[in-house]
Amino acid sequence: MQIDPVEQAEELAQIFFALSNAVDDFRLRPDNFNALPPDKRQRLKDQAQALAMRGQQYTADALGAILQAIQPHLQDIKQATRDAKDALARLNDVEKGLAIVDAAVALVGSIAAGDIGSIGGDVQNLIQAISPTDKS
Amino acid sequence: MRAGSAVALVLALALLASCNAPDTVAKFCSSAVATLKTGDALFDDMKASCIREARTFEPVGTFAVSDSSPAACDNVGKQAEGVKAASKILSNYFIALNDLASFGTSKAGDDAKDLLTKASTEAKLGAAPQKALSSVAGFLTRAAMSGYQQKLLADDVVKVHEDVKTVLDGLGEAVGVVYLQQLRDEELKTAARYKEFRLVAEQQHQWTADATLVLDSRWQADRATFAAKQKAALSYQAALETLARGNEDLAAHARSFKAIELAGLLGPYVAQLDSLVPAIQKAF
Repeated sequence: MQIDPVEQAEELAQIFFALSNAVDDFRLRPDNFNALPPDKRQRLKDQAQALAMRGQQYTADALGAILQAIQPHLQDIKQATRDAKDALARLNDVEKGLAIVDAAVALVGSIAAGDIGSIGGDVQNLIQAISPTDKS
Repeated sequence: MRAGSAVALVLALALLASCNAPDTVAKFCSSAVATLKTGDALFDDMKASCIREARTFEPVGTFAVSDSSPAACDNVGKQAEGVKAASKILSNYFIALNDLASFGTSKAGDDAKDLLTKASTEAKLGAAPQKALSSVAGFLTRAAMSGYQQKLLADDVVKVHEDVKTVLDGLGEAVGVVYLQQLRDEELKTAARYKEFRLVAEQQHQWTADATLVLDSRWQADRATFAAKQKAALSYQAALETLARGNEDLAAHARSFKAIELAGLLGPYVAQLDSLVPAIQKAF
């Protein structure tokens, strides 16, 4: 039988929380509370706290077991994230190249057509396309 | 001849200008990032819940100005930070996917519309055809890039969809089971503290009707807080399950990436995620 460490830790946490609450229920039943001397009441309270904190320790263990289980998958996801970023960088480079070609073609077209009014704007567009852009 | 070519070109561009599949993926990824982000408050509350529980063992009226943090609570905090970091890694993946899916999505559509107008106009006027053709060449290169982009997206989604599901299940378990258990225990301990206060006051013959009303009011406020947090934890787990199902569906259809089908497929997941996010945020 295979043991699931996450499930085991969760169950242990639940058991210790339940034990702690059972001690509290006993201590805080009015008949018991009035019958018990203060030092015994305090001892029961301390024990309930110790049991609750043991439950919290198993809570931490359950989280640790979850982390351990997903760790190898996180590595794969990190790699896929890097791949997606690299792909985007490649696409941005191609897009930049296309923008330069577009601007150059427009300028050549304006010169060939003798469209003096458009040449200034086309030169400006070409300069803008060539100038480096921020890659955030 | 030239008019015939222009008509064919206009038809081709009209087809290419239709809605874009990566845009649908981008919306899904954006909802995924928003959903994962809501988990941070829940992970942060794990250590806080442990400390609050430890505090319930102090008598009412201690008025401590600093919280002692038992070793167990420090350990819970440390592991919760790890889980939060795992959520961040997954979030970064969806951000990268979103960036990739968003690349040129509106631009490709605009390019197609611009060219459509230009091609129609220039076909009628018969002017500067070389300029229109160079623009068309640029657009076709962009269309090829768009195909490449869709392939990259599909590769990424298919490659890690099982890893994504495992991590989402783990995060869901951390909140929907482990944190929920913590909250239920904290609620019981808070009730125990009020009970003890009452029993001590009764023993000392100091219990009054006013004290009952004040304490009952406090308890009702505490219960509302616990209920809201428990609901948030369950909503978060439900949102992650929705996200996992959406991602599985996306992976199953990633290779075809037909825009209209994909929008119909992912739309309900996006709507469900967007409705669950406020329910999670409400408690914090």
